[in-house]
Amino acid sequence: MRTKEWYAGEDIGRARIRRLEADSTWDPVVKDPTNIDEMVEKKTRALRASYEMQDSLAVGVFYSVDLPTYDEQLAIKVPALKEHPLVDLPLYQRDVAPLFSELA
Amino acid sequence: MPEATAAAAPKKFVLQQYKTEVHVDWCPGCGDFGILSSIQQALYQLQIPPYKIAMISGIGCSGKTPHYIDTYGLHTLHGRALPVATGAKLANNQLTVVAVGGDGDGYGIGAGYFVNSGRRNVDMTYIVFNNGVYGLTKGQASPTLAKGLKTKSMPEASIQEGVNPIALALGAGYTWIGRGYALDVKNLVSLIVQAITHKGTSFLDIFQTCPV
Repeated sequence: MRTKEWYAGEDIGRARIRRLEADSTWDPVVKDPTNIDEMVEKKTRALRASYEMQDSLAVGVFYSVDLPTYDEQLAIKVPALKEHPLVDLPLYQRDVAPLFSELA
Repeated sequence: MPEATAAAAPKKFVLQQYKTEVHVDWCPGCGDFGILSSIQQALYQLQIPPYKIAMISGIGCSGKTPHYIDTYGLHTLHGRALPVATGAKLANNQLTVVAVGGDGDGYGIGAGYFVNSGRRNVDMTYIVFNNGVYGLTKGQASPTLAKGLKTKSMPEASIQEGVNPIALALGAGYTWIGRGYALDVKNLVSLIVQAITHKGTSFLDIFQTCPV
């Protein structure tokens, strides 16, 4: 199917793989995550590169942005997670009797 | 990535410590060998202690990857590498979690998980071995098989368009998106290092050559 020879472009006389970073204007990193124009511009360029599918196949970093992780946001809601991973918390020693009393 | 050290610094862990003694039984000429070697070299470069790594896989040829890397690992259900990896990271945020799978596993059976993992942004890495076929079952068309291509197990060429994984990942909200080529190990190691170092869910699609 997609063989080593196909990627090497033996049928078209040149390699199909091209590196995004070989283009000096390529910059996939969003500097300001609050700037929707910058985000959309970077995503649009990445999308365009991703649709090269036949005789030119782009490899490299398409897009990068620094946003809060799920783990970080969870730790804001559950501060104990900042001190210990969940796996270290004594889940099985929790006394749930007061909860049952409350619902009784 | 507090465990990461500069490439030139003395190495506490040697490359061999990221390899198991399990026989690698992929087909001769399989692109997976390049990806496996690249993952091992990236983990070695980053000097992440093997006991602080969890490799999670789905089903397919790529599913065997955790068998060959001497870290914690789980070979899970078809398409379910991402939810298990998410659970592992949330249970123990001290782990470096790397999920691996094929294009059928990730963009077909696990497509819902693929989309929702993008918007969640758990700090982990997802690596997809993308070859356009279900290789383990001898070459049925996978979601990324391009229109007009015919595998050995198809009576006619595909009349469906292939999924564009990068476009899907951009829409889903992945915060780091990259693509590599299985037989360019040097570049692939660099991409895997960047993916693992990224804070948030990083997604690396890899063009993989399948001899089936």
